Amino acid sequence: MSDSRKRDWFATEDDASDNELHNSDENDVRLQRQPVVKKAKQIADVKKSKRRETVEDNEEKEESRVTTAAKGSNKRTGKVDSILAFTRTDESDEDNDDDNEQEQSEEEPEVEEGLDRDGNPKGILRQLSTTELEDNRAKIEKSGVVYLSRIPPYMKPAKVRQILSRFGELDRVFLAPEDPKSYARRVRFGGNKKRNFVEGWVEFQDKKKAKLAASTLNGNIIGGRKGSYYYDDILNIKYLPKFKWHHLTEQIAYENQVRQAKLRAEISQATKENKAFIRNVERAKMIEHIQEKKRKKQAKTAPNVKAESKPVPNAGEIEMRRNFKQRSVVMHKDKEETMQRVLKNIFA
Amino acid sequence: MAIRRPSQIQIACIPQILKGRDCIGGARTGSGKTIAFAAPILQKLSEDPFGVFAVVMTPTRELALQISEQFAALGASMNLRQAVIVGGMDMIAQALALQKRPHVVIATPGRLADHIRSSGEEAIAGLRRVKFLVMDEADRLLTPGFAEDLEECMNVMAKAKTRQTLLFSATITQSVMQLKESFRHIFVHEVPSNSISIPATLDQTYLFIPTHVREAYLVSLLTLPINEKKSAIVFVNRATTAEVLKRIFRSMDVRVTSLHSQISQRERIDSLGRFRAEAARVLVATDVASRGLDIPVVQMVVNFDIPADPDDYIHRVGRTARAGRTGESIAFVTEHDINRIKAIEERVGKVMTKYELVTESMVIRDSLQQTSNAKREALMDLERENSGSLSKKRRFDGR
Repeated sequence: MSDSRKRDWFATEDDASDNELHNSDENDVRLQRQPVVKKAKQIADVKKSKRRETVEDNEEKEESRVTTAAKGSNKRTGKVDSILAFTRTDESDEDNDDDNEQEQSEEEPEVEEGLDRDGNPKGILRQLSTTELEDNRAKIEKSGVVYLSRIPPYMKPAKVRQILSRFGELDRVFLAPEDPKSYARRVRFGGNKKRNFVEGWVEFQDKKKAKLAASTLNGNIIGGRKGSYYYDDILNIKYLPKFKWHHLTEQIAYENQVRQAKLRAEISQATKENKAFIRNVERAKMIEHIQEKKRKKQAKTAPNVKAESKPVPNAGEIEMRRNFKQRSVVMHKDKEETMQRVLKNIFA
Repeated sequence: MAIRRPSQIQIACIPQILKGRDCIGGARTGSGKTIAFAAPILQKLSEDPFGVFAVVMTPTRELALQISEQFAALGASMNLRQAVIVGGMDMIAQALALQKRPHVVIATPGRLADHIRSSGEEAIAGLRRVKFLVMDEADRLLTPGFAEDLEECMNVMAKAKTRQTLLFSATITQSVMQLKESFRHIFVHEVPSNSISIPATLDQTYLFIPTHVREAYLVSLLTLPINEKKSAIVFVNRATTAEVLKRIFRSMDVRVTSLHSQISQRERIDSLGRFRAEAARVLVATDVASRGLDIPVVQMVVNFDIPADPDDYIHRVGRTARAGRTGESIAFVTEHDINRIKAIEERVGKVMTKYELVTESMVIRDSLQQTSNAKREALMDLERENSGSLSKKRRFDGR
């Protein structure tokens, strides 16, 4: 799935055009199926130790910033806290990606204090007080996430929110849009032009409410008014135990980070190569200049020799020759038996 | 269509074809070979219009579409019915079109052979009575890559005695020329000497540069103030290179499109259309676009990679300087291409001059860093999208 298309789509949907979406659909699907434990393995999978260093560096950086964080939190929670602990940050990619992830869920109501999302990019970091931090942690601890394995046809995030908010206050909603190719195909063959969603995650502020919603709604018709569009549709909804919203975003953030680090490494490599090229060019100019001077000098001392067009390179001059492997010239390709037959039959 | 005066090959070939002779026609690129066979075919057709009267074979799909346009323009007044049978399009629709017995069938060998194998007798019955078989770009068609499909097609078509066979190309290979010896009745219009297959109005230049800075030179070249308005085709040897270059240009805000075998036929047609209509200024293409395509606006051809076969070079640069217009070509010669460029110069019979307008300092100042960054990013994106492999099954996401 192409990023740009997805970006367009989200831009039109939530009017958040200035937000870039780095993740792709595959990521969305993957993160659902990827237990958190696997993340460690993934880090190990990254081949170049360099990249790993950068990733860990970032994590360390973040940890060091969480000076006020309560003790006893393991590395991961520390990291997440750090995300929530600042009012506005643009320094680490991590935070950006979290923002983006949130943008994907439609029309966010009040977000947590820590995450101001309406993009003044160079905001000042304000550390939260210990109590505020504690509050945040408690909030996260209390929240619960449910997973919708299918979304009724063309149901929008707003409708999902409306259905689920019967049970308790919701936080974030994310519905994964369908593959743009299948959308294009449907539209091309005269199908419905509305956007479809394939699966979704919904965050409840209170996990008890989340459990209640899941057990009540799962496998049951949506109901409501008899004539309503979704009356007979069935919801398939599951409470995800021990699963928080940041588990969703983590994977994407991590992948983005790896990508950024790789790009940086690539670019620095390119810069090195360019510098070498520039150096060589300058050197060539210098040598040319020296030779030119020498030639002039020779012409002055012995004007008779001037008639000879090209001076022989002196012993002092650098005479460098490198042999490069030459690509082969292919004239007309060899003739085969079938070719011969064709040629014979062509006029007779 | 404003054709006031026949070109040399038209003067030579049209009467002979009307007389009923087989014909091998060689003439330089952009000299009106298509009309040289289309006009007499239509003349003969109007005398006795029936079923499938002529089959035109081409090596590439786009060329087939272009020839069909020309037939349509010439035959508009006589209600000419024609069918284009090329790969990448709906096969059933094509089979139905064949059943209706169009006057002219324009085909690529692979798809036509496919129809012969699988579309049933009804569809191909018309082919058994064809009066004309034309092979455009004959030297490309008569290579082993097409041999099996061609043989299959020719087995179905009328025997050579009862049909006329016309071969056309800008570069006629030895193996084709030898046919002249064994079949005396053939009329041959030859390219007088080997220097002639390149039009005289074409200015051929080269740039001798290291491999790894080619992209930067290309960007500098195409964004020069004098080149900024020109439409250009950049030829590469691989589809991946074409895709990478396209992305580089796109990141530099150059209006660019690409044409190669790794995108769907719909996108191929679209991108050629965009370039024709000058919605895109730069076309990055593989040899798919090297033959026959007639795009009048092309003022510049850049050979980003040097082709292995000198004949391919002739066809590539033949995309510009067509029908008496001027044009220029620039070959990017790297340290590995000396032999190839020598072979080309020998084949063309002309020594290229150095292209002076792009200098090292200019490249360093304007485009080097920017381009190399863009290239790295493009490569990374490609890798991510296609997991590194670029087989036939994994096509580029068309964007």
